[in-house]
Amino acid sequence: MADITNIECSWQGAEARVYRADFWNRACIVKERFVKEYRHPVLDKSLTISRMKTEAKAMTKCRAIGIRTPTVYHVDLDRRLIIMEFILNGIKTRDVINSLLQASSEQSRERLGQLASQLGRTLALMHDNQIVHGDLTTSNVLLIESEPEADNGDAPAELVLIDFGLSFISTMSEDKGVDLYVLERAFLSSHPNTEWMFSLLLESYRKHSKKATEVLNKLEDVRARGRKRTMVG
Amino acid sequence: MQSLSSNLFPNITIQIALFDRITNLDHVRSLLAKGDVEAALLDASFIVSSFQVLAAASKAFSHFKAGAMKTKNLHSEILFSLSPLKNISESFRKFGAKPDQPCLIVELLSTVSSEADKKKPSIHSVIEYGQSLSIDKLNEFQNREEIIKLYKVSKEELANAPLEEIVLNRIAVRDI
Repeated sequence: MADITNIECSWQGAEARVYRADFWNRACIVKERFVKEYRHPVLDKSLTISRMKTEAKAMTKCRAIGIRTPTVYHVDLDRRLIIMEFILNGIKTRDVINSLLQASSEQSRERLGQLASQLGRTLALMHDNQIVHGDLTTSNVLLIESEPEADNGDAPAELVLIDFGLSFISTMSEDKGVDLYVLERAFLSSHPNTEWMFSLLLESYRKHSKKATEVLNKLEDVRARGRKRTMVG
Repeated sequence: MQSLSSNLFPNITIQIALFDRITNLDHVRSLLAKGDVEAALLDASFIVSSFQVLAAASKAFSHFKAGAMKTKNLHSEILFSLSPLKNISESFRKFGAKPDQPCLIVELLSTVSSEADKKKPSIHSVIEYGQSLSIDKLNEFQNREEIIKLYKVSKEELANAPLEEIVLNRIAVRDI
């Protein structure tokens, strides 16, 4: 059994604690899901196990279709642990966007646009493979910057999606629309006045997704629901 | 020989050693079956990297601690944990060391072993081999096509991720 009793907790969220550790000389993340005391223990166990299975499977499925996610090293359902690759040199997209926004130069604006397009394309690929992330925020997308002299037209940095704890498989455009809506809300609240960026993201999504029209229509519907408090008339 | 530890598994170390061939494999196998020595003897051609073996060993150890092993002992469980197959005998047949073929020996050693265990001879005292090699040589013996076939890795997957990562993911999620 992986033993985390002597390891300092790195971060704590609503669902899990995250620890940094070493897995046979490789830096790793250990994600330990909480026991929810307010739930009936049998239900809690079964829900937690189900969520863990989905998380591990979603990550491996993404890897198989070309979306970078941390490699899963070890799953311990009894101890509610997933041990996965620690992404070295990974920076939260949230932080990258904020520093680029602050720089506010021609170059940084171009870079932001590039990022938005890249993310849109990645999400299109994910949704086309029926994976719904469930918790898309700019903190759940990492960037691995490659060498600065890489002057290719393609993205100079690699996107990594993390935290698939709330993910699920779905073919429904409604679910994918909601996935995008969650990102939109998170995006605009973390990075004010970036509607233009998110539009570029959606444009790229439209270009790269086979079901783009349907999903984006659903996104419209969800947006409308959000704005109007009453659903009457 | 490489000896590794992890702060996640505080009371054990894993030792791996590579040999170009074991010349008394049958004899060693009989000792293993009797429990006189303990080690996992692996066919090096199915190993992408030593990390793959470490991940399998961790899985086996986890099952061992939870009393949930599918095979008879910890070291046979390591062999089984490496395999993408659900059939135990087939897994042993595929991943187990072959006579006069490159062999990776894995030992999971407790740093707090019992008195009984301390009396057992080390596997290294009973094997007869050609040459002992540095673990770095492991990828010379790797049969990539066989590994790809065995783990059912598609061309698409390979285009998107290194073989090692694909294999690691497979091992980690096999039983869930």
